[in-house]
Amino acid sequence: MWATERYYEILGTRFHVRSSNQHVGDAIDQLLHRFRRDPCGVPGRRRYAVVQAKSDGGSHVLYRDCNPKYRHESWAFIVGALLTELNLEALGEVKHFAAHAGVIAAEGKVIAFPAESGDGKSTLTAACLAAGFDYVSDEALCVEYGTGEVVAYPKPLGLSRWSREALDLPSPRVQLDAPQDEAALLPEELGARVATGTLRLAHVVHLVRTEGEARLEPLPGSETMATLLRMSFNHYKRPQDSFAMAAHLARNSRSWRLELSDPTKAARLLAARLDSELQPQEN
Amino acid sequence: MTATTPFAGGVATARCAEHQEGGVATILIGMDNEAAVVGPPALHLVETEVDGRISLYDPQREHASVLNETASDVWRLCDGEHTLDEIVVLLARAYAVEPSRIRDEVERVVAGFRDSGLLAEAEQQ
Repeated sequence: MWATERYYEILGTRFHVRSSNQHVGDAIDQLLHRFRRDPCGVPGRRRYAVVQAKSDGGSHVLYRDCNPKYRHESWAFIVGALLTELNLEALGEVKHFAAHAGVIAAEGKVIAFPAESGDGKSTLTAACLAAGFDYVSDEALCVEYGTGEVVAYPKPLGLSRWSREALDLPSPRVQLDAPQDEAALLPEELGARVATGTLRLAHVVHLVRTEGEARLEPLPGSETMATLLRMSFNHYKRPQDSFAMAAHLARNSRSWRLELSDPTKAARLLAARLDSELQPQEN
Repeated sequence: MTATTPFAGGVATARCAEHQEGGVATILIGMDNEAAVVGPPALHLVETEVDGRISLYDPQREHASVLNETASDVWRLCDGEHTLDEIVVLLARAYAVEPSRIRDEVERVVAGFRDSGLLAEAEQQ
């Protein structure tokens, strides 16, 4: 019955994804290939299936553990819904400290933009990839509690039509029919690499929308501590460890305020100032 | 009428007022709070400092407080050794301003610490 059946591991959570339609299954795999794993006998996998109904005009249904969650005439919409579900579930289960942020890197030094949804972190992340930075994530800064190392979460970037036009990006390989015409782009579509090796947080950049030119000014580390705790997905699971982690990250990175209106110019400013001129603290 | 009474952390001055009705004297005692020391910090708190600013974690309430510069300065003096008046005077000297300029803010910050259960005196209450 299944045209495709694949296994993915995202931030430590394993998923089993099947599709009754070859094209849909291949589109999903194109977006998630980086997370693909060999099938294994480990229990506790979350099961998702995309099924094209033979009745009612051939609409597509997304099932989670055999329970229907979404139904839509467009397979692209369903694939977008699947990506959202996987993201939410992975972040809900992740064992690392995780905060809502866009994250890039250069030579192992990580720069994070903690921000709420809609504040422009994905757009700025994409602009930074186009400016030559490596990709870590457009969704979450994940840090191992034990080592303090950043764990990459290179999910497909979710960019609105406005963002894609502002950055003059090419059409995505997989066009999603999501609300606000959001598309999922892979970092390679932006000419970027995914960051590898040991990653350490070096800079935390707080974003402020403005009408004027991009400006980058230093901030006290306590601002970063407060922001990371506010933006954390899972501080409630290990509250004292999260408090200590936020303090550790704030002490061992440089904090900045970035005023921006044009993400491309902001990315160039970051590339000029953070990559070459300033070094992270060593504490 | 005044009386003195031992109070945790030091001696406080009590102001008393007498009210007589139907032959029964009711003595209302008001504590002169400004003579009482502020603090010390609640024992269970986890305290850390980043760039000179203090952050506090209360594991009982699972609540974190990140203090700004002024609040951090006030916090450092909420050590169970200083009264509110002394805190105001010390900070005014440090900031080179008249105590009256910062008194309201210091009182507000200390009230915030008490409301958040950050001071040991709150535990005693």
